[in-house]
Amino acid sequence: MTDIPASNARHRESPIGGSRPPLLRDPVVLPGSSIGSMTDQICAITLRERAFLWWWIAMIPAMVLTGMLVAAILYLFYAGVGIWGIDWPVVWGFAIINYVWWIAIASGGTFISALFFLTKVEWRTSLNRIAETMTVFAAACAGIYPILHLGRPWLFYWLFPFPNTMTLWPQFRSPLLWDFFAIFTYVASSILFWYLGLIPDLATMRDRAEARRKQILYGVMALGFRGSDRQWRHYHVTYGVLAAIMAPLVISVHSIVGLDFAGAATVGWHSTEFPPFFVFGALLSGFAMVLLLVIPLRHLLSLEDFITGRHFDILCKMLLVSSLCLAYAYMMDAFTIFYGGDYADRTQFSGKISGSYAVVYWVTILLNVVLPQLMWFRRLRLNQTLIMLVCFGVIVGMWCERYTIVVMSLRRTHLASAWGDFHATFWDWATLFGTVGLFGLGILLCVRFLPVISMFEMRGLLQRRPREGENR
Amino acid sequence: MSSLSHQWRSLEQLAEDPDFVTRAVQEFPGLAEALASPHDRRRALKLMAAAITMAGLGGCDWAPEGTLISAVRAPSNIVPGLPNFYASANVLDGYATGVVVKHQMGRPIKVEGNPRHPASLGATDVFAQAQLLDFYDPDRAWAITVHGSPSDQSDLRTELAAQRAKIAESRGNGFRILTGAITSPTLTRQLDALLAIYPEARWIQWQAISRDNVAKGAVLAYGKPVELVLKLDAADVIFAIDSDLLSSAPGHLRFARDFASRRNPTRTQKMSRVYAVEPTPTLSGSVADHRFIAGPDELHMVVMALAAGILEGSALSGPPDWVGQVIADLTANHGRALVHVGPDQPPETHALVHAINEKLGARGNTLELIAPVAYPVEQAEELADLVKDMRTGKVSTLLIMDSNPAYAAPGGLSFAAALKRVDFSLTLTVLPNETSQATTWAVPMAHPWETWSDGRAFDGTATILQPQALPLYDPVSIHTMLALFTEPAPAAALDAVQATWKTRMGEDFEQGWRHALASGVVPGTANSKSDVTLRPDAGRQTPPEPANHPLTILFRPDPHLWDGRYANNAWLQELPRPLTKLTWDNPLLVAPERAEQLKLRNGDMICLSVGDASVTAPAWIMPGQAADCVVALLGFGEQHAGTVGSGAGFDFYPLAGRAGAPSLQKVSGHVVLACTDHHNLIFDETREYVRHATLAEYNKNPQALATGKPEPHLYRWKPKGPAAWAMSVDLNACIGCNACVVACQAENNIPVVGKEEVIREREMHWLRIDRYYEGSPIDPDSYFQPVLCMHCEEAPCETVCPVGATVHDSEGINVMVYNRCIGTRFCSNNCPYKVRRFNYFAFSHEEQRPPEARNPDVTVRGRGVMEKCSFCLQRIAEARIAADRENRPVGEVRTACQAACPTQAFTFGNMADPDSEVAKRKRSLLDYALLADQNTRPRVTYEARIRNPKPPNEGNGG
Amino acid sequence: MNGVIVASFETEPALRDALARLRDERIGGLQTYTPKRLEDDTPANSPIPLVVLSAGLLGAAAGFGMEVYANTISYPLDIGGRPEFSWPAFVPIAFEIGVLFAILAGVVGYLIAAGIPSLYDPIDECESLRETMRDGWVVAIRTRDSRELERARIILAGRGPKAIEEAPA
Repeated sequence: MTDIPASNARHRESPIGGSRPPLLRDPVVLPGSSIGSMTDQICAITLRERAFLWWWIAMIPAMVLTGMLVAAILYLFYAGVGIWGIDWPVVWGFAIINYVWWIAIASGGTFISALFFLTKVEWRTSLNRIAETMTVFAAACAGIYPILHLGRPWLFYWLFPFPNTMTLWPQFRSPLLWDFFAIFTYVASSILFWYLGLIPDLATMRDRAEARRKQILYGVMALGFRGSDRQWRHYHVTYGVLAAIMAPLVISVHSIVGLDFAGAATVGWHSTEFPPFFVFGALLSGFAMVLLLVIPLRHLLSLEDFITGRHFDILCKMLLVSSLCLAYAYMMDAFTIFYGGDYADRTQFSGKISGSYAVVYWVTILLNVVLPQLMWFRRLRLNQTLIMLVCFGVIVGMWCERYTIVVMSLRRTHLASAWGDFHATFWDWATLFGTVGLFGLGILLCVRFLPVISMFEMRGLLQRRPREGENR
Repeated sequence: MSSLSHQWRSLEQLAEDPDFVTRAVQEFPGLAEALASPHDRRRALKLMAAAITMAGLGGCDWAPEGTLISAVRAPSNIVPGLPNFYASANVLDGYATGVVVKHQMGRPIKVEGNPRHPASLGATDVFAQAQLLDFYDPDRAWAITVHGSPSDQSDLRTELAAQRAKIAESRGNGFRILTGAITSPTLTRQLDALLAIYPEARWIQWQAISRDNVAKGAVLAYGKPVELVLKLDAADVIFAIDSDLLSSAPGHLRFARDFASRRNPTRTQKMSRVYAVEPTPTLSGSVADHRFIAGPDELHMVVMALAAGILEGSALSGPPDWVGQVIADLTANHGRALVHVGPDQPPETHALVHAINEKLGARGNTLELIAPVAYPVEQAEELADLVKDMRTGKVSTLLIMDSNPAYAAPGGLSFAAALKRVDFSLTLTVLPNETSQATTWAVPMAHPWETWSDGRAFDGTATILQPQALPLYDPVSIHTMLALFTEPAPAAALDAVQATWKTRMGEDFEQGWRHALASGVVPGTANSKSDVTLRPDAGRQTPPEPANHPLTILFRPDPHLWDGRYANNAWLQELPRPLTKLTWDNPLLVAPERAEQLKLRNGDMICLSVGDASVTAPAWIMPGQAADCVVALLGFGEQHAGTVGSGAGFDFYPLAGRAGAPSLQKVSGHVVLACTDHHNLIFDETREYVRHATLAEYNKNPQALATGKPEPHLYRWKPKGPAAWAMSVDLNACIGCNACVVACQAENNIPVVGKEEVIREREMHWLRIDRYYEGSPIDPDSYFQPVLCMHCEEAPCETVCPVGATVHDSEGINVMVYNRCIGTRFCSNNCPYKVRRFNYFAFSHEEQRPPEARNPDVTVRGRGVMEKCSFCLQRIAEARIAADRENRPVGEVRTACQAACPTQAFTFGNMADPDSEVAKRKRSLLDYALLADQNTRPRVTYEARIRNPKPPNEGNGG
Repeated sequence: MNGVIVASFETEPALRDALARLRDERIGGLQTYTPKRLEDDTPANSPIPLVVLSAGLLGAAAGFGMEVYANTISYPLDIGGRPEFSWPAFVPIAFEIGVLFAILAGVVGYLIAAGIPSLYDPIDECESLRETMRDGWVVAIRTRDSRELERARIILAGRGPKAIEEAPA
């Protein structure tokens, strides 16, 4: 506790912040800010007249990449999926890889906001807004791909069961259709859950805003929430219930994504371990992405008071745990293949680990399993640069994992005569990085115009804090 | 997209072709604007349409001969939707193979074999199938040109009048006629007449892929020309020396059928045994029970040893000891043995083999000698002499009919240069080519489907070729052209052909003619057995010692482009070669040892040089090839083949006919070759894909190869429909000839994707023939396996389609609903056999192919749609309708692949009917399902391959 | 005279103390406006969980029903030789549809229960309401009985409010 007043002092004198290093024994939220000051501080970020310089700088690449995405999509619709590297044996390519990659990142966010809400952990409070925002945009990016993937994307609506003159129905046995419903539900729910969580803070913004247009904007979005006891009472109940639904939803969604593969008889996919395997992957990439966003935001928006060493500590531990789970999944994958002893499976797997693309597989192992082991060490769990590097590594590693699963398996099918290869084209990469830009754009806009920390929940935390102090 | 852009470029060429423009503008005011932006695809298509219509208009002043069927005013015998069939023949290098052309609304849309024709027996080869695309080829010559600028019939006739006068007064001196081999009785008659009128005139019979050795060999052996008719069904032991008897010998379809009839132990009493010795793998070699590799020197030794062993009964030292075994086996089967040698071996070898066959009692049993079918060669002059005369200015008038010497003449001769010395030269050709560019006159030749003609099969049986459609352009029949050199107004082709046959058929000509047209053969025209006797010295012939060079170039025809005449045929270009599985290209085939020694990978550039000529081309490692040979496949690298063929591959003719030792160096550079076989020479390790055993093993345990009891099921779906369509493929019969693949492509409107897209692994063939190797790369066994949609009863593809675009019908066919498909491609992922093809681009729309050429009964698939084999659903539907009309159960249906197959490897039919052929075959002891462990219950099953090597315990009694 | 009294307090305890007092005095029509939920609120008796549950079950049942109807009655097809009623394959979609219904019901249900959207309320005229979503603790008393209103004002005044205002009813 000794360092706390000092830190406050420093915080006061330097509103830009970023100076105070995270410490292991930090509480979830540093003392020194009251309900009011906290509210002012958070609102100030979004209500300031002109955006930060770094925000404008960050917007440039985001816009450029998004523009590239639009171009890539227009050309795709004009020319056809042939512009990608996919071919006869490898009929699924980047579209599916990127889709799984994004949806996994999204799921991580939901875990933090929903699952840990139910377990009533306090550290969640400072993170859930960022996590949910991440979820919404990652899910949006993921949602684009299944449509781009189609040979005739303009007919994607045939996946809906809608009345038509042919009285045709979608084919409900297809894992792809399960996936479609899962994604649809997941995107819709994530957005609603995120918005519901925003309502009280939007009300705050409405009341803090000076400019008329902002008052109107936030006012409309706040739907007239005034914090009356009636509104609060139902609010907490609803939020709890929805959280309780979101948790199993996110698990089901990612299991179904796993079933897209496991549900097929394809070599290298036909494995019961895929659903949990995919959920582990989702956790890992989710935590990694949250850290990737939180660390810079903590500095740039000087949120040191609310995002402390405690958070880093916990998130890194989580990262470590999920990485270990994933390692287990990798082991089981190899084990079942050799224990099962199916010829095609073995050839496919040895093609993975020693073939022309073996490097991808080993990079996956390195980035997803080996690298996160650094998190065993306390000190490293506070070294923000290192954490950033590890998390970035994990994000890349998870993409490589999906590449291994999709491309490597399809390259080596049952019949040797149908073996093939895959060479990504410019348009493959353009679409991938395009969605990265779109994601960044979404995050930046939200950081600019929405409170980055859930203020009303933080209020609760701040009020309980003194008692916490007593307990120590 | 580049593959497509390739074809669009072609249209731009068409658009910018000056003659075309002038004529187009004359006939279509306003077309000029269109030409302004030829890059616009739609306009380009319009142009193509224009080209065709215009040709039609151009053709109006040319009166059609005989009674033809025009689709414009539908005659009584056309029922919309119902096909008509007209017999014809595909004539390749003189020899005719009977075909039946299928018409819809008067348009030829498919070629089938003619069951009544001895050379076809209902089967076709790849060339006959691909004829359809040639007929509709937009690049076809459509205008008479002088020095490349357009002219017309009247100019031509005035010019020819002058020539006639000149030739007449010189009694034909300086007049030369160059053609390929001729069997057409009419043309023969005309040629005789012409040579009678102009005694000084000379006829040169020349073809790039020469069979002269065969003819000369026969003369050496028997003193006069005779031809061979093989009876492989009667042969117990066959020894094929560098032989083409299953791939390209005249009558090879017939031979293949007979051969296959002795290869399946469940259906034949005694399985034949085939020995093959060859420097580079051939189809005969790949289906042989014993295959031996021998370079030129060793082959020479083998022949000598064989002759010595069989004729004198003495054993020579030197040759490999297996020869003794072969001799023993041959002599042991007197009267049931046969030796066959290919056209690339010298005449002396052929003579020796004739002697050997006589000694083995083959004549009369396993082969027959007949009077020659082709117009006798010895009357012909060598091409070399012609070129000499041309160079020395002895040749004043040169008529080249249906031949392309400017491209295909051996480079040593430098024909094109000599041609410049000839003041009047005329090419008659269907497609513009190097020769038509080089000669003063170029005249479009009437496609065999546009005029009357006749031709003879390998056994002499004659066929009368009737026109299949109104001429698309304004062509001249080969008969008319020849006659134009003797008379100003020659009889039309119809009259010429009828004149020939009036004399032969005698009275009741009318009826005989009708019958001949209807059946596609003229009965009783097969040549009688020849009573020649073997000359005593035939057995003492000694083939010339091969020049002992460290390296020998073997010039072989490309199996699909032949001598290059099919270079503009996209189907044949994209058809994977039987053994290399290459498309659109002809790398030099080198043996693994040499590749090892030169550190070559597939696609590395190498420079092959003879004397002062050299060609740089990529290398391709050919397993089972003699180390001291390099194979140069001819037929590629034409510069004026047309938009499809020009510039594809490499031209090795310049190296031909050169003296000196060939040399081979690796040079820098590497190219990617369009091979549909992406598993880099992998070998069938599991022995699961193609199950096989030796005859001995099979006799020991006949059940061993069949699929065991099916796995247990929670739920079993039972076929509900009246019929249960199924197929059985006999791997003992398949010789990998690819006829089925083209037939499928023609029947089902399967698009061509182009070289670049093949390299990107996007070829569209519904039916592919997998080739697996087993053993060492030096000398592997090769196995063929046709793979098409298995129509699994428990189809994995169907359960994963989110929109139900692929489902089962009541008769057990896995149907693809193109309109419903949204292109998730999950079905292809889930197909263990990978038989589904996806339209990554709008391939069919960008094809350079007029819509009239398509099969109207089959949907043309658009972009983003999955497609696959449908068991020729349209044919089943046709049969079903017919059956309903006659109120009987649906009868026999023949799929396109089945119909085309020369060896009847495919059997298709109703599995539910126990008496059906397919049901019988499925009860065979060899019947197995591919990847049975996947438990998909395929409706297509295979009969495992049995090989019949000489068991070691049978000591060689030679 | 009738209307609304709006009293704002500095802290939450102060407000709670005032509320207790008002309740003791049997003053009805109390309505609090606070930046967060009041700590010792009476246990929430909300219909939402029930609504969500039933909506979820309904959705799942409807989804499953649709799948069964489509595959057995409406348009039975032979899909890979699988049974028409292959229920295990129908479960995932049924579940997802159930979840979707539940979430929608939850959100819509809350809006109704919380009586929003209501963008304007006369009470917004009071200055005190500006602070409620920051650090202002407000109680409003709505009653027809002007005497009661008067009593309430006296009580509140005794509790050291930051401000007491009147708003039009």
